[in-house]
Amino acid sequence: MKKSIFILLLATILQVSAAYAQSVLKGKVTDAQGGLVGVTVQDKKAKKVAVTDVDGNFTLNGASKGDKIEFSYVGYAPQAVVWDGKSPINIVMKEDAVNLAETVVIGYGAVKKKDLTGAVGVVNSSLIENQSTSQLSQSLQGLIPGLTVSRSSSMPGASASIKVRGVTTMGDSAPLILVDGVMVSSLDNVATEDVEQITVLKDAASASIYGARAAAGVILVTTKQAKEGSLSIGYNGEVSVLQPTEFPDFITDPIGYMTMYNEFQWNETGNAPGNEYPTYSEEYIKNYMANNALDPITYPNYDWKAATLKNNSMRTKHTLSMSYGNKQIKSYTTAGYENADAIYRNCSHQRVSLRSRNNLNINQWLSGSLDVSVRYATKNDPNSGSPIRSALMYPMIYAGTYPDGRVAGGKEGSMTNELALLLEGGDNKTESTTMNAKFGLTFKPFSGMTITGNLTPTLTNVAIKQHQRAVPVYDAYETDKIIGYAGRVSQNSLSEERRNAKSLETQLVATYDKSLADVHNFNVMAGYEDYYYSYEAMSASSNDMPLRDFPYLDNANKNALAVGGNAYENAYQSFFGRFMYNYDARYYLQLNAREDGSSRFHKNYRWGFFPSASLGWVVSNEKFMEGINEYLSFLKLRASMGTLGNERIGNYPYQTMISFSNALMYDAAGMRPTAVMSAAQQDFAYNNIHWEKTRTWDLGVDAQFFNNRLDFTADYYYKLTSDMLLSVAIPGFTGYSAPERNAGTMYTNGWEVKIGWNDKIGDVTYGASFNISDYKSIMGNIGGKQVISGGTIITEGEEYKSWYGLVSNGLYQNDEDVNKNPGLVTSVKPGDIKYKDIAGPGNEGPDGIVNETYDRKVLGSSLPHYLYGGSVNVGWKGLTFSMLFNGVGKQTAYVTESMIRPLQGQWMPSPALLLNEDGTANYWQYPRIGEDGQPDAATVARNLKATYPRISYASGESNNYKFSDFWLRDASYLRIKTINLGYSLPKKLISKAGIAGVRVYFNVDDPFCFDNYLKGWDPEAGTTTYITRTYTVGLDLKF
Amino acid sequence: MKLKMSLLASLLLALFASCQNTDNPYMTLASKTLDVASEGGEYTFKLASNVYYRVNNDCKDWAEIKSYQTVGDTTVFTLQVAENTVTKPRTGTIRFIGDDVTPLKLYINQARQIPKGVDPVEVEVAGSATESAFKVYAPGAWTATCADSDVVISPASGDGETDVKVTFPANEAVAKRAITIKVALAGDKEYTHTITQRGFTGIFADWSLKEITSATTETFTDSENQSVFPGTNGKYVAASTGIGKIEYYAVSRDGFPAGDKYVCMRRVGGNGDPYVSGMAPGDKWIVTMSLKNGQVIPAGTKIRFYFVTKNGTASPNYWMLDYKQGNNYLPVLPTKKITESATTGLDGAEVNYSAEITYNFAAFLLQSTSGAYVPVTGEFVTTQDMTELVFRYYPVSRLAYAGGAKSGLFINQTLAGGETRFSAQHPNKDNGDAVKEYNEHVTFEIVE
Repeated sequence: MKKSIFILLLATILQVSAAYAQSVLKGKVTDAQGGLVGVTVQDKKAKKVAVTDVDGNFTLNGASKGDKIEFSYVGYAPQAVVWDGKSPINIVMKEDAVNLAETVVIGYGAVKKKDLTGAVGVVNSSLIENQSTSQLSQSLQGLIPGLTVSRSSSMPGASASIKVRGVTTMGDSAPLILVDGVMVSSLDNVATEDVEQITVLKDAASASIYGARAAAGVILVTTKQAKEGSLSIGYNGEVSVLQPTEFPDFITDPIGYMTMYNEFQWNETGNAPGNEYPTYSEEYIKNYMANNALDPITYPNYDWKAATLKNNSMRTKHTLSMSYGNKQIKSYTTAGYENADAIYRNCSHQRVSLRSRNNLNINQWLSGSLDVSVRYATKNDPNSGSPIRSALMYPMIYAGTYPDGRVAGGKEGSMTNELALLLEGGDNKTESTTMNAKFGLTFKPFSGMTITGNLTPTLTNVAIKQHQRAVPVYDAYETDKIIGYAGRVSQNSLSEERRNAKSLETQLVATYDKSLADVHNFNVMAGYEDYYYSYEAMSASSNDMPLRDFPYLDNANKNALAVGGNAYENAYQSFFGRFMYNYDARYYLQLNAREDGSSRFHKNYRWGFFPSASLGWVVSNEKFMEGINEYLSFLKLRASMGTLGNERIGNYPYQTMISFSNALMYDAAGMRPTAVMSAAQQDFAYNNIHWEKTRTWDLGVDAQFFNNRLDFTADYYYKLTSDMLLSVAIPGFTGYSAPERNAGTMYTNGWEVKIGWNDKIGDVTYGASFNISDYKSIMGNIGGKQVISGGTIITEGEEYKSWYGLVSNGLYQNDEDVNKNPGLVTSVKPGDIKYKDIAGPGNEGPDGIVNETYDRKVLGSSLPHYLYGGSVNVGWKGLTFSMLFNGVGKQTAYVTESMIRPLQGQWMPSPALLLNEDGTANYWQYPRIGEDGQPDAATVARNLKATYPRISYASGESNNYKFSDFWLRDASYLRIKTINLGYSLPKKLISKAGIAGVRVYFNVDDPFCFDNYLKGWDPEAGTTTYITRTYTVGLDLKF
Repeated sequence: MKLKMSLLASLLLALFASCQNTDNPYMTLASKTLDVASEGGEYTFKLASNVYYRVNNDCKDWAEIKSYQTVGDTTVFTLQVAENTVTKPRTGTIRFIGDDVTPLKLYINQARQIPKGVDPVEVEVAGSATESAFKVYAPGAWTATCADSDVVISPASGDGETDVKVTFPANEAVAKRAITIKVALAGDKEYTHTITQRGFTGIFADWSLKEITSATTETFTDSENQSVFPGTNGKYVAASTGIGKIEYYAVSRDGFPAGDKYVCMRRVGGNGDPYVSGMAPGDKWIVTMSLKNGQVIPAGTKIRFYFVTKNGTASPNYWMLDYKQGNNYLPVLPTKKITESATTGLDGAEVNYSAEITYNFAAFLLQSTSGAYVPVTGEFVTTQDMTELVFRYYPVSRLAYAGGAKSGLFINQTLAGGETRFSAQHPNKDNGDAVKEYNEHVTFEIVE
């Protein structure tokens, strides 16, 4: 009741006194779930405004019959009705992903979406909340065109890398991320449930207000805050079951493993007839399983996968929120807890977060704000690292544990036993605590003028403890007899590290907003900002910890202690300003400029100026468009250009560094070498190093059709990055490593399209959206330099990090084939990969020799292209269904040795991909010689179709696994990212219980993936990680 | 819980199954060792378990699981063990591998056949050794005795298999010593352990010529030519170590005129060499030695002799070395025969000499004028016990030294060049060069 009174009072206060009294309009605004609080009800003609109360009711005094009454609410399509004089009226708002009246946060301000002239991507909370990813970075995948979100894992705490409009520099292409205006190092510092809106500033016009930090784009996260009139407590709880989407199979079973191991050894020893069983005799293999049944100690058949991995893992999440808002005070606080574990033990991630946003309006001139957020996260990992590979790949003829659970010796000889290390080998723990606050004072001296000062301290502490325990392996029968140590590590070690970082940002921003004659709309902003960041770390470690279960350095052998430490700091100072003007909401102009000074550069090269300009023309507001507004609701053309900078090129790039180390020198007596602290200059530095600069041009169009039901946005952009840092060669006799200079150039062009449809038919709301984007980054002049690494090349004229390697030409089938075609090495044999002879010295075509110097070529792009995503949603009364999908239209991935190479380390098993479904070889096999002296015809025939080369360590090293197109595969995919089914209980059912809302939902994240990639390998997963299919049941309660 | 078990495998490997209780799985052996007598037989052991387990018999060749019986969670296995017929014990294992429990290993320790008597029966030790050991294998009590009072047996009695230590003094005699230990086993016969302690070995007579120059000068030097023949003129060289003397026995000079002033004169060189000028055929160096305390040199004793000699120009090439055995003299080196002849005597007179001689040492001068120092050495084995060793060294040829100033002349007179000696000087090199070192000894050594 008090709430109703309060809202009513608020609505009354907002009313503008009318010159003459009119009728009283009453009504109720609802959505599919019931009454909507905080909806703005406006009669522009009468200049009357009201706000709905918690039940959605409103009263608007002074409205007249025939007035146009407009209803607006963030996240919902605005509605307007002509009042027929009857009261009450009922309005049902429709959720709208395309809300032109929606306020979009931009740098140091906010504008309505319709007034944007830059390329800006916006995601509202609903699209994030419908997913059950625990990390915000992963939840953005596929939502915004031009935003590349790459993940390789959905294990506890796994993050994702984010790029805005692709590659911007050879260095750090990560975008600048600000949460409520506070710079953070990762999107994952924000709990997904705290997010109200995410804005991605993609072009220079929108991002250049952040100047030197914005070259790779800017992501602005706005967290939830209290709405005027709100008074609620909310709870959200989720329980998720996570299952890996897929795992590859390896031939680990005893018979298969020993058979292929024999073949491997047979190949290595020259395929002599009669020596087909060089390691495991035919009889041994034949009797193995029978022997195993009786003596599993001597003849193990150990299921490493079952012993190491669970079928699924669990995640729980709880969020409590409290919101209170009136005209004077707005307070919104959330507290969250999340706990997730992995499918193997000792791997988990816990997070506790608290975020509170508070605003206090003292009077019409002065208001203050205090935002506080605290995030504490703990990540646990086994010291062994990820056991995924060992679980999948260890041969079953080696036992990981004895029947009673004690660890066994694993691989004979080396005692390689990842499971033992997982079970008893200690763990690594990282605890991070991030605290930040934002103190703000806003002064409004006169109408339209706002001056805001902010002080933003941030404190981050990270504590890392890495504890490695020696794992003794005991005899199977004699439980007190040590026969060795797992991994042959017989000493306990401990490493502790503490990292402390603190920053302080001071900001003063003045904004003046003015409209003249209702057609000249100005917005001028000017600001000052400075920022200081310092980092300090210390570490201590010992590899001689006598007590196995006492992970504290007190326990260390004092003669085996090592300590370390380092520190750095940086700062910047900035002046910036923006001028926005539009004439009659038709012609838009925006100018931005920022002058940045950074401590990272020499004082003579410290300051950089980053201007940008954008123009917008809302064609649909022109008079000549009035006739077609029914079909073309909105059309805006945009153009922008500007310059952005990148200062993230190290902390002291222009200074030479003195590095400390303990060097061995003779003592004072000249008798004994002893470690002495020494220092030396190891680098050569150019002091005129300065910003990398990125100039961006953007052309865009925003359009809505059919009463805003169809939304369309498209952009084309071009980026030129210059002065990229490149290491330049200097004579080796200087003793210095190669210094870096501003020398490189890169060109990127790309496009983005987004289209969406939203409508309502009766009680059914539905919508669908699709976005797609692509870019290509071509290297310009990089001083004739080539950077070849990991099978990719960075070279002038080619796409950044193109695949680069040999060109394969099938497999050698016989000796004649080997003799006719030159090999990479003379030792190639039938069954090895054959490469094409492309060129030789002097570039005069094939020279009869295949080598990596002359016969490698660019093999295509290594980067994903045609990234797309989209959503489908349907709602009926309280029931909602939504589905998100995303994908990559074109991507070529390199099949690494760890994925496909058999007998890795000369003992690991072969991938099951080497066999056809009928169990025959899909690789080249040396045909056995029959009694007639002829090679086995079936094997010869099968070899012609073989996909993979023969099993050989020597040829593998020297020939078969050299980087070539033989191992490139189509890794494009379409992934159903989330399916969400929710149901909100009717309010009439729950209101009697004092509950404002109850919603239950069921999510499946990453349920399906359609791809042509290698069987068992998720195109997104790494070789030691996995992507999960996540089933979530959730409950939303509002009181 | 009633256990259900089934025998699945062959005689070599047995597999048993039982109910499984995963809440508290266990598998225990009442004992992890099973001691079995050498004669074998039936034995039982117990295993309690509530899990499925397998039995692997690693000693199936001599210990076979004959049967088993399960009551409750406990199975009693009956093991049929074959006799251990050798004198070494043997150990085998039976392994139990159960689900979810620590695998177990039962050690079957079978005793060996215990031998009766002593081991070894006899042993030979060095003469310097003072202790030995043997083992008594006895099923029960035993007693060891030795007639020699200086032999200590420890322990001298015991029960069962025992290591016995025997201590005794070193054997200073040349003869071997036999220590006989009688071991009487209760209820059994008497066994004998014999320790053969080898006798003394080493040098038992030594003339360090250089060092005893003054003594030799006093006891060996003739002030003038010997006048009473035959005989040693009472002159000798006493051994510097051990009991022994060297004498020069001169035969009668009747009919053997002196060619110069030397008839037979014993002299001593500056480096202690005892030598004689004016030798005559039939003269002999006689070395007489005996062991202290009148000890007997037993038959079979191998003796090595060594000395350096040098001959004058009127001395012969061929010599004989022998020792006295009873009433006979036996050559200490293999003998050879040679026929020699001459037509002129040392005195220039015409002679008609021809004879076959037997010798076992030939000394040849490499330097015609001054003569050469040559080693004389060899070994011989005595064939009778004796309390005294008499060794002789004497010329058997009548021709003057071949290659010398009087080469081939018939020795028919005494001369200063008729010289023979034991020398302290080192033998000449093979090329004839002299080695002027004076540390040579005359030694007689018992080798074994």
